Amino acid sequence: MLALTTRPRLYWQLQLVGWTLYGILGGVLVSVFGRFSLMVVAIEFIVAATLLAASHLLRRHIRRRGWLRQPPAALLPRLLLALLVLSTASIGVILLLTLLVFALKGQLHTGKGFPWVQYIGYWLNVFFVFWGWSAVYFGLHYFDSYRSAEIDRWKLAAAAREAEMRTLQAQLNPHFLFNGLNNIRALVMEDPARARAMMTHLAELLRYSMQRNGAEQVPLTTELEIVANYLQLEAMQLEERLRYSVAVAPEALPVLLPPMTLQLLVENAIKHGLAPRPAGGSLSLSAQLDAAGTGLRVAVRNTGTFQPQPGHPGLGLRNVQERLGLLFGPAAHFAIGPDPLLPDTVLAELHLPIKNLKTTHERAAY
Amino acid sequence: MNALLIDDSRLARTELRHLLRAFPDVAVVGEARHADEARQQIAALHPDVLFLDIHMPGQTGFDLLASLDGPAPHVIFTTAYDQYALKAFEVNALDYLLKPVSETRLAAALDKIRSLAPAPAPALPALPPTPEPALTVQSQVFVKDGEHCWFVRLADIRLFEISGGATRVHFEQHQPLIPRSLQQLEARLDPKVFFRANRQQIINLHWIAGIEPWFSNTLKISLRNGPDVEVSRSQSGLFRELMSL
Repeated sequence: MLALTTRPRLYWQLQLVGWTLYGILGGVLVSVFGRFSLMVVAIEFIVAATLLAASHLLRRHIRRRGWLRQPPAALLPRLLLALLVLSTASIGVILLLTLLVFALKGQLHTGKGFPWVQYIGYWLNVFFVFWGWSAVYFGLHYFDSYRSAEIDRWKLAAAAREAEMRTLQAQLNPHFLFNGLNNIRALVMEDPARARAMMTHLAELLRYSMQRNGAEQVPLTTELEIVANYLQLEAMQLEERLRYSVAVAPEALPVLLPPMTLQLLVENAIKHGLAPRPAGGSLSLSAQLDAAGTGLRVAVRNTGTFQPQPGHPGLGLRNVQERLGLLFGPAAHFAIGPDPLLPDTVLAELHLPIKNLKTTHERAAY
Repeated sequence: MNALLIDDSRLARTELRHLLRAFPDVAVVGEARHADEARQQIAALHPDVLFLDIHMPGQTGFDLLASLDGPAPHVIFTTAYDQYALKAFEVNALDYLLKPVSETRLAAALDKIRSLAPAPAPALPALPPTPEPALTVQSQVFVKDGEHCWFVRLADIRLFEISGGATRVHFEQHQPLIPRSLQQLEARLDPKVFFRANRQQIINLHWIAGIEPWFSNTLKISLRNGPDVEVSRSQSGLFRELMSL
């Protein structure tokens, strides 16, 4: 899409068409209220040509002085002065040329007094026409720059969203991965069958975290399988220090949500809640539809004390929050804090809309 | 060589124990799941080397080392992914192994420890109330100041200086702050090497570059690589006594 104001041909087309129409309109008015003659055509031609030239001079002046970049407060007084001068000069030129034409035709009215009042009327007319011209000229430029700024904003937002989605795409914590591998190595000797199972859980988790693209969404049931794999692997590391339960209403299973969302909540609960406690603790995950059936509610509770580090918002949670914001806008809610009902427990709650999932999804893919 | 394994994961300890079976001179004398347990075990067993995980429930491996009184044992860090934290160390008098641990890397780390001075301050089990092992000049201490950690030989420390409620340790170009009082330190330092110059400062006599008489019968001592230290009047007398034949 080309900006209007970067097309010089358009300028000339508008100038010629505009001033020609102005001249014709003037001629028609004079003919209607007075008398049509060739003289009227000649005078209107002089007027239109003079004003075209004058407005072109104004354009050159505007461009040279960079008036397009000036704020209105600085522009208006300058424009007022320029238009006063330009109108007066234009009227002078028109007057001279007109007199010249009359003189050439030998029709110079010498006896009659000079109709000053009439010329002041002409002057005012020209003055306001120039204001109109300026309004169109500046208007088109402002419109163009507004539109290109708007387009830039869209592009920027789209690029930022894409980049964010790419970085926000949750990845497996390397600590978790390598500890898992190390534990499996020990398990190979101790319990080969369990070692094989753990290897499978790890493979599933790796595949899941690698294959997802940021804008894609998965049914809750798929996400829960991954969370189960994850919990099994964490149980290998934490053993008796981790006790967990998962309770999900069957009708919630097909609801779509961004991949790794629950995984991150569970990981966060273990990393900051249970793992730092020598005695460990318990974790419970529950999910169900809300009363109206238009939203999914997920709650993750874990033993622990809610202690957000000031100036250091958890990367994982911010990740969840930002992805939800990008996908669902304000319709999604996420909150974490001390559980109001259970002591010594942290509650992370997530509320996702089920309706309009398709459209918000598509918007995010843009 | 007696080793203590410190890791919160039982399987990780099992794995390390298994790997260490290949080295007959290494005896695993104990295991600990977190810093508190480790402190008890260290006090009871006096291991020669710690295999130390960094991330543990409660205190980290660094916190554990910084809390140890007495000389720091040899330490081999074991970590899943903290090599960057470890590389940031100012003094590289330590080794680390990445989990899962490779046998050859483990062998190299053990070789390095065998090549170092014999295990620091082996405790004599005959003495019933084991006195806290005194620090010798060759002892290494672990110093932690915020995110920065160092293993420092006492011989390299030229000055301890009171700074608020804590003590600033001067060595090389570093001056980390450690949360101990000068009195605590003085009690455990070798008096033949470390001298209390005044209320605020303990200097390492091996780092003295020059001594000059100062006002009212005191002394001013300049240390190699700075700073100058004014010795109090009473300590100046003591210093002359110590230094005279």
